[in-house]
Amino acid sequence: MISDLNIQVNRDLCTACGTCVDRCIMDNLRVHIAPCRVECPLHMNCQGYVRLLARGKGEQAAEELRKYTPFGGILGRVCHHPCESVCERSKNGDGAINIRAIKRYLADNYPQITRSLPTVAADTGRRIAVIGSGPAGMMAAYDLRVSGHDVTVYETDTHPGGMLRWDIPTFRLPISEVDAAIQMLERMGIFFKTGQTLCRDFELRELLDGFDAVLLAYGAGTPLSLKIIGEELAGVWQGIDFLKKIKSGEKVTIGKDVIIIGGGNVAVDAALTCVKLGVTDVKIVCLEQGNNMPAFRAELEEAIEEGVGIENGWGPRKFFRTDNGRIGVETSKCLSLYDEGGAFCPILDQSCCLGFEADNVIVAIGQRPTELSLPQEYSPKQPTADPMTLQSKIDPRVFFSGDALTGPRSVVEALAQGREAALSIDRYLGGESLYWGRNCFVENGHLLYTEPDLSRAQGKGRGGYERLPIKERTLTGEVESSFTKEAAIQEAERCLSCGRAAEVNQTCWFCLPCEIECPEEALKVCMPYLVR
Amino acid sequence: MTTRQLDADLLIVGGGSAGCMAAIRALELNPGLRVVVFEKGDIQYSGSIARGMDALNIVAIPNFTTPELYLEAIAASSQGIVDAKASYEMAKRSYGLLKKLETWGVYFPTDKDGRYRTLQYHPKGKFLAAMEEPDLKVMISRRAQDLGAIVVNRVMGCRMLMDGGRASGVIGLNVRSGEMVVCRANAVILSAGGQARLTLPNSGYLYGTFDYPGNSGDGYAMAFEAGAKLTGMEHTRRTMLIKDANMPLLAITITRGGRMLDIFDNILMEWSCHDHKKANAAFAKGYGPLRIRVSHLPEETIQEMENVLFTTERPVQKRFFEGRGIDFRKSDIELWPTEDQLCGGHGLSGLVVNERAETSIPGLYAAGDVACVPKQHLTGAFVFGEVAAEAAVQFVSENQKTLLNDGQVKEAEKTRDKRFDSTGRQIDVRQLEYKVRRLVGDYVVSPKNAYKLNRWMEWADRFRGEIESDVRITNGHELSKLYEIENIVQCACFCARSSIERTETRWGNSHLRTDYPDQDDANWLCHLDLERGENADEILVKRRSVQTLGGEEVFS
Repeated sequence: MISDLNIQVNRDLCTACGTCVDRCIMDNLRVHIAPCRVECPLHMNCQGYVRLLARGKGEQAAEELRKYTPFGGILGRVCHHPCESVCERSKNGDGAINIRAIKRYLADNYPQITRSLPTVAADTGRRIAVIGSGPAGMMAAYDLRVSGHDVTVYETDTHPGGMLRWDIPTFRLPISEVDAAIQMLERMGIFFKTGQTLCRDFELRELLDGFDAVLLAYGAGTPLSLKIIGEELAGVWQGIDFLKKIKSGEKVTIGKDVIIIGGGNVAVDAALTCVKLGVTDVKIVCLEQGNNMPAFRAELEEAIEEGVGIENGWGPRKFFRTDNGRIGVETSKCLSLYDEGGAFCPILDQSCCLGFEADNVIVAIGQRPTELSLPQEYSPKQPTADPMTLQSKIDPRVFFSGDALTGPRSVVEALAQGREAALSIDRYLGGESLYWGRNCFVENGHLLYTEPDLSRAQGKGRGGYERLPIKERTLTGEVESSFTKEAAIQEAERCLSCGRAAEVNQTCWFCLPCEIECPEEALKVCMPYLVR
Repeated sequence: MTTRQLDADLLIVGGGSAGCMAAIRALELNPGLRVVVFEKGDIQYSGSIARGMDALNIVAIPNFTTPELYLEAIAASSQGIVDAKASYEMAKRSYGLLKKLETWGVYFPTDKDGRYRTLQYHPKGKFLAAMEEPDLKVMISRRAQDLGAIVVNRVMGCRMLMDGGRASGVIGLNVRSGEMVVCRANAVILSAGGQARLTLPNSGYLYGTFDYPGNSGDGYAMAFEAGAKLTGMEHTRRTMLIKDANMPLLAITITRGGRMLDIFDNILMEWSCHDHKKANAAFAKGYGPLRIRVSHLPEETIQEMENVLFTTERPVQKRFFEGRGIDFRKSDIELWPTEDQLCGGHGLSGLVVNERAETSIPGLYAAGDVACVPKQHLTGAFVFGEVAAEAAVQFVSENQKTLLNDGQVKEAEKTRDKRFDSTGRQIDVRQLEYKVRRLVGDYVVSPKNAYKLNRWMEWADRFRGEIESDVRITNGHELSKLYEIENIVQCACFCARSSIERTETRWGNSHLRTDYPDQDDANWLCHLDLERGENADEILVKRRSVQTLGGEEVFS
């Protein structure tokens, strides 16, 4: 049982910021971390900024968010919010806290705080090259620059941002958000070199001559092929190429109907894009059943809402040109997806077929780490990086992070990888071991046990975003808009404040710095029972 | 588990008063120096002055008091067991220290003529200068960091590293993760405080000690193991403070006209608080609890006391009294003896140092409560923090770099690995500490006798066995407690060994032997030093003459 006998913590005021734990000279205190925070790959104190907003302290909330990331505007729009999936409030039956919406509210309304420049440490004289300017590279560049290192980011494309820029549609993440993030990084002193491709314009060996460390964060930009006949037909496109063309404003001639092969986020985004382009009949055809599709649930529902048809359980065998110049798609029923070992190994029933036909076909069955002609040993197909430190097992100066290492994952996971890699690089450059102190919970005095109190539940059901009526949705405007202030506070007030500081080790000397330093005056030292 | 490796020119173990001053001074002298500080807690508030101190107990103010007078005072209160040089050096530098602190914004109240507020705390001379600065520790820790000190929080010093006979760094333990942190250095300053957790406070609460409970004799144990000399370990200090809360009260109240009374309302202390003989005698007779009464004093004086007590040093006192329903204007405040401690700041225990803060190990310096400069208090911590830094910086510039001995690190890791386990282990680390300190209280502190002191040594062996492999350790915090308990046991052994050797009674109840009840200057006007033998378990005792200012030895 979490004790309030000596150190009394007011759960309405405590934001689980951890200041008291940091200042306690007897290491007496710990923060019990809310499940949302544990689940977040960046372990952001989402409870903290939600609770501060609930009390009308918008600026402090924005500052708390800023402590953990300068990319709140991006995450507030596209994060897949694993935090919400473990929110204790949802056990009440009225829905998880809309943490992503609150994050977006803070980022949109306090950009001077949420995108403020950090204090950069004195120059270390060390130079780091980051390959790839997607979320993993951006986060790593940010952290390394804050530590005082010189950072140059190489980007193969004309502009930085990776998939954020080109492959997440405007109606979800406008380019202006990405540009704002990049500008902040540039103002910090990070150099971006665009139009520079590793293994084409320069080699890894050259980089290692000119830099003290290299971070390979070039993402998973190579689309997977179906490897079936007809894939090369005109009018058959790869999903991420299609999305990029649209987002960069290129003119695309598209037919009246489109078939999209694949059940993931790129497929869904491509489908929604087609709808907004005026395609009247958009169908997703995928191997998975409805509840197994890898696409984020909310985005899939959005597609269905906008009239996209879903054909579950079919695998394409062949594309062919029909007599009337359209594309025919032959599919067979998918019997199973995984083998006994859990590897992805779909089995199709040749005897059970279904045919489709459309003007265009978009293939979106996934991506793999971008193909570069790196020296053999660096090929990310082999596990060349230490899973904890992300350092290459072959050359200690080389590090990996993000989709280039893991295959396609979410934005926030890539950010978290970038952060880990940056810590490793900073240690490496400082001549320190990379392996100590990597358990952030232990280092920070965080405990995973909480005592959520459902009786603290206030307010009604989960608040949703304002979303444009389907008819008004276009390619160039955001579908979701930010919470109003009232809606944001109302939503924040629903938070149960599951995490909190507490006395754990019974070593209190009642000296009071914890109380003095608590920014919310949430903590009171009553003196241990045996003494008072 | 991975060990963190660090490198430094100068390593300071303990980021309290002495440690912060040492870091500041070292970086003032050489801003390019790489200074690493190991701090067991968090440096911002850690140590004995978390909320400041209400006074600098020792300041020799020009045209008012002199270092010579101070020597007389300290010789009297230490019953002659004091080396004049170090105490003199401290008194000589004490006024400069006050002025320096003032330039940093520390507040020393003055009267309308610009004179500092002084009170008599010693048998002779008004050396105590009032200081009202609850944020003192915050100020000096900030200054140390701003000057470039590299602070490693949550790391306690465990073992000295040695390069031949020279100190070459320290192996530390992260108190949260249990990982070891090694810092090689060209010089080491030990400023890890005294031994505040020697026995149990009356409340039974392990951390209800009057002095900072993070001080668990780590410095004494580490230095001894490395071969340094300790002295005065027989001086177990306890005092009469607020009952249960264990907080200071006498200096603030008695010096302003408060009275200490027994149950018959006899006045045991008034105006002067340095002589505890009457108080201890009354208590021993059963005429306690003794009480402080201030209700007879003018409202102005009472408010002044409350102002000091409730803002500086132990401000939680305010809510303690509120909880007990005590209003100074109406009720008396009960006193009770505190637990016993070993301390070079309040008492006479610690590493043998000279006036340059040098210990008996080359490259190893000591400052603050960990060093024996009798009853040096905060003034000593600050002055010798600076002195140690000056000596260490010079030493670093004149000597080659040390070499790290990997074997020593591996040995320490092995010990740690063996301890950091819970499988099949039954003893809870908190209960172990309670039992250890209870028995130390039973056998090692006054009233002492040979029988009890020998019995302790037997118990120590038993506890050492349990520490090695019977205690259930589930996390880094518990592991660090186990190391602290080892130091408590070791300090108790130092104390017992010295106490049994000194066959006399001296320093009131700091060394009271019922089997040798008289003070014996003829035989015992000397220091008792401890040094390890070939074996780390061996404690060798040796007498050392007291030295005068001129360097002459006073033979007993």
